[in-house]
Amino acid sequence: MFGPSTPRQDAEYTAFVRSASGSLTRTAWLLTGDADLAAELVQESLVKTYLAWRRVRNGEATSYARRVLVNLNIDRWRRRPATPSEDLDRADVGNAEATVDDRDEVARMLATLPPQQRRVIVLRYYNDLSEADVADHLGISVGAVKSAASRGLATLRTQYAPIAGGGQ
Amino acid sequence: MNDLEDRLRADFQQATAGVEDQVNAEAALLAGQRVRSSRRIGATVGITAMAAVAGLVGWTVLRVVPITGGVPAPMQTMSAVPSTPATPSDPLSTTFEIDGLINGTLPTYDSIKVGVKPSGEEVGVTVTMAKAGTQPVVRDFTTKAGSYWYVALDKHLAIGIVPERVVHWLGVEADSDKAVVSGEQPLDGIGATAFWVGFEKAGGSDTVRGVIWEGGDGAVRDSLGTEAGSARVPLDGDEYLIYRDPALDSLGIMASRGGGGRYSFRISDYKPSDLLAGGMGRKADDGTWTWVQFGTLPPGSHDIKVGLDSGEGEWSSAVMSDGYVVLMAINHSKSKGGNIVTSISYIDANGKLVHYPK
Repeated sequence: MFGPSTPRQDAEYTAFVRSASGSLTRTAWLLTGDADLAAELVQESLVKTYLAWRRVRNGEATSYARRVLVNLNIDRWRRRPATPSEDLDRADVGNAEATVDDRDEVARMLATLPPQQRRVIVLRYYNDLSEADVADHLGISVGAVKSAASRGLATLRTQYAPIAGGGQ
Repeated sequence: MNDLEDRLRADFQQATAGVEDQVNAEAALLAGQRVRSSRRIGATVGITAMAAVAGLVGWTVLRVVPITGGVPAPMQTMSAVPSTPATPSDPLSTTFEIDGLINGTLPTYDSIKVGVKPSGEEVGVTVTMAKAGTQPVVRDFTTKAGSYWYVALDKHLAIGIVPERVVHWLGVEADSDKAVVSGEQPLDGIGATAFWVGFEKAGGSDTVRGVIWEGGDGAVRDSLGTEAGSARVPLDGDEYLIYRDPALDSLGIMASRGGGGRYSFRISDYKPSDLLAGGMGRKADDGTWTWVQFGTLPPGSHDIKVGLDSGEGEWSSAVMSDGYVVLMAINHSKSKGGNIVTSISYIDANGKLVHYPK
């Protein structure tokens, strides 16, 4: 009815989780800036992927899980604005202070973007998806992806200047 | 722009290098299997456990105690309002008697008749609003067949049509912080259900985000066309339907007894630690209170332990159809106010022990 039903399919699913969860977690963190929320989104996307496993197991699982993840986060964003930068949680790990600072800076920059631009920027420049693939993930046109990416990059350019101590 | 794009790629890689992947593959598999199992069980329970909404003792939300921040505000309470039974002889119309309202601030009208006339892909809707001593007000609308429809008749009052027979009316998700009363009746001629909703606060009818209901197949659906996660939790001789609807940003509970009271709040305002705060209560005829608290834990949560501040309390949990784990506690020994749940611990999907309060 739902999900894998044979030991072989269970093994396929767990292998998929091992290979994909890291990327999904990092994507979720870039989308949310919140380690706990990111973990929750990944868990939910993996459950949904499990339930759809028979349909997506042949090469589409990662894309499916990421699409679920992004759209779960869309649901959240539809109901509240992007998390203010001062409320961003720090990730749980990373002992080097510099790494935490870098991570926070990236999170703060992304938090200045409207949700759609943030999603497009993350999918384009973290997940390295093509504009067409981003459009497919988000259910929008390629033109809308180009527009959101352009505006997002323009905003990030202004954010980068003070971090770098000068312009680009 | 290419320099910026290259820098973004590099910074994203660097920034996420230390983000810990907490997912345990075997735990993820187990979480998925639990959800699959709960869906199968849920489908069976849904057919056999349709409780009738009856009784006149209403539930009420009396306090939400902020303990950990982000505490959900009560969205609405609902008093039991008897509605006129559907008229079997006229499957294309129904009349709501608008009476017995809370605080006496409504209604503008004594009754509202909703008549429908299907015509191809459209349905004509005629609404007749009557009040003693005045001429009835008639308004005509057209809606698409098989779709959700809603219209605010004035600042306090609205009606709508849900495109299926509702088994368990769950109610309206609205941003108005004033109480909502409502009722629903079938329109068998078009396989639909008509409902009305009234708001104490002027303008409340413009704040409706959507409606949510339980269909004949036991699934909880909303007016956006999405299926919500849900679970039925038997506790203390009663059954509670708890739903989680990200599309409407609503986490809510429906009691099958006591007038079918309902309480909901925004998912986006909710954290598992909020289980230590808030709740709803019902005062029985003998003056004693029944208090209920509920909330959800992330998918895959298990080995749940709950601390109650009274030995007379009970709690239970269930896996919702979307994988979230609902937790619910009830207590009869409380006077008005006070928390039921004092602590929660569970193992999350990654095998990590989580405990509240932290």
